[in-house]
Amino acid sequence: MTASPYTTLQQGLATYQALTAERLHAYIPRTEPRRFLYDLVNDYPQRGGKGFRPGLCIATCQALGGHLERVLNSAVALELFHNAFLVHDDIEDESLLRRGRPTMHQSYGTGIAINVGDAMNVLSIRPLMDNLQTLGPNLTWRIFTQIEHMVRQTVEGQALELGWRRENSLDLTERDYLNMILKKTCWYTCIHPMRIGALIATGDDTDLERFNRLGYYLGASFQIQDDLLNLVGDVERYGKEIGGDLVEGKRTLMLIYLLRDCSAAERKRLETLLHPDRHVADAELIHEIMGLMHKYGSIPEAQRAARQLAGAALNEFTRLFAGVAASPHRDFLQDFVLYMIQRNH
Amino acid sequence: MSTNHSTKPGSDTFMGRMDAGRFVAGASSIVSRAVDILEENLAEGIVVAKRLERKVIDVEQARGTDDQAVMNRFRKDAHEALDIFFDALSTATHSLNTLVERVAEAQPSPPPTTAAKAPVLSPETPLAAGEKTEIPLRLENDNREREMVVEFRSADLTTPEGTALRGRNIRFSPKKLRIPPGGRGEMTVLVTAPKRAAAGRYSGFIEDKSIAGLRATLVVDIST
Repeated sequence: MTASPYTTLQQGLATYQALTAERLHAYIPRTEPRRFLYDLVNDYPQRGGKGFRPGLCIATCQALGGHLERVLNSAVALELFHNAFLVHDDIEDESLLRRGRPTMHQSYGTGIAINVGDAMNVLSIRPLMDNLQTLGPNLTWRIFTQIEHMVRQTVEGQALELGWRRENSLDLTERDYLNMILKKTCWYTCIHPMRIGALIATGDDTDLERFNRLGYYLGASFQIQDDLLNLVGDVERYGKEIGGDLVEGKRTLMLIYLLRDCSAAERKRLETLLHPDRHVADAELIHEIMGLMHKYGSIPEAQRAARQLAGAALNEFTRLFAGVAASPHRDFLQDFVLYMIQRNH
Repeated sequence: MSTNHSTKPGSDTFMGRMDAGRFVAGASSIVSRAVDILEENLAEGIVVAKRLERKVIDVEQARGTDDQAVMNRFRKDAHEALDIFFDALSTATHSLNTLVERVAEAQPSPPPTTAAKAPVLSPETPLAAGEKTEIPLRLENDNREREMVVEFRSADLTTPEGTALRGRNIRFSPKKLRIPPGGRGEMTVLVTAPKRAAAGRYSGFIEDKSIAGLRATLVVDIST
């Protein structure tokens, strides 16, 4: 069997994720009600997500000389927030699959899924409060401010995207998309995990801004590639239904490029296909829109954009970490950036 | 305690197998656009943070002896403004040990009164489309040995909805300001609202062409 070129990255992620999962598990109450609440809190984390957020947070902290014990609670909080977002996102997007299995609301109903997501949000606060014992009040408070900004940006981004779908917005630009994913994805996937890791390592938040661009480029590249994989990926490796974003009317970069380039008649047809109350079979919709995307080269154009952003991330990483001592954690961060350039799942 | 990896992530890094230069040469348009958007979001954050700061606490007072140094500088971005807010909160509640106690102790106090101390520049009243206004700007050169030459430029200002007020509508007088070592200088920001400008709150950065970090957020309300 040929070893995956991402083996070292995967091993790093697995290590960080195992550390996070162990601590996360300790924060889930062992009390009732279990069947429709606490047992389900661990459902999504146990499905084996990539663990980017805790990985970035822990690696950044340790690469900059911080200690694992000091950063672990914050990594747990990030992972809980992330999974809460996923549970709620799946409901909002009416998604069927998450990490290769039925989404929580598909399995247990929307009401229970919303409540589990709420519980995860609440449970994420406790590890942050427990930071008080290891980090002291100042640092604990500063991490809270990072988290507050992160969560607010994320819900704002989600609101933008949901609004576009509800109003069937067609006049969107690359700029609109970049703004939306900065809010919806980048702050919480990359920028704040790195900022929090650095804050804990150095105890000083005066220089956290240096992570903004790196995190933005990384997060944007990740999101565009995630959207691409939804169109052209392998369902088993990707873990979600292929073409699901089109069915949901999600305004991806590819769709925005297509709307920019297509003819007036095609645009009119797209307006019908993307309408929330359309009467078109899913398979037909996917086939038609994919045909237009191939016609206008929307997919390769988005692929180029993702690679350019990943390249910019590599540039930023090289600049920022040039003076940082070599360590497995620094190497992990470097491999993470390079993974974005070559990602195919 | 640090992590002991059973395997070393990155010990066989991708970097060695790739030509990094291939990816880093030249900034593409999407990357440039991303930079603009990040800056705008950060600038927007400064405005929000500043409003919050004014409502809740007197930063100058809370910062005590460091107030002049802090307030005479432009703040770099949203987080710095937020940090100053929380720093102020921290100072005001220094003797307390818990987060709950910290929050409980934050007391509202009067807002800063002098425009020169604000890191966010804004005309005193909204502009109507077609109108012009001037905003005085005082700068201080805290270097005791070298002259400071300030030459600002303005990015496009945008509303939260994305409507732009082009940077060419923002001018500076004098265009280039020389401030002697340890001295002060004044500049005027000239803002023109185009005749067909849409109503809204426009914000964006003005920054010096060569002095890194010397920048401010300009906020202009245009009314119908």
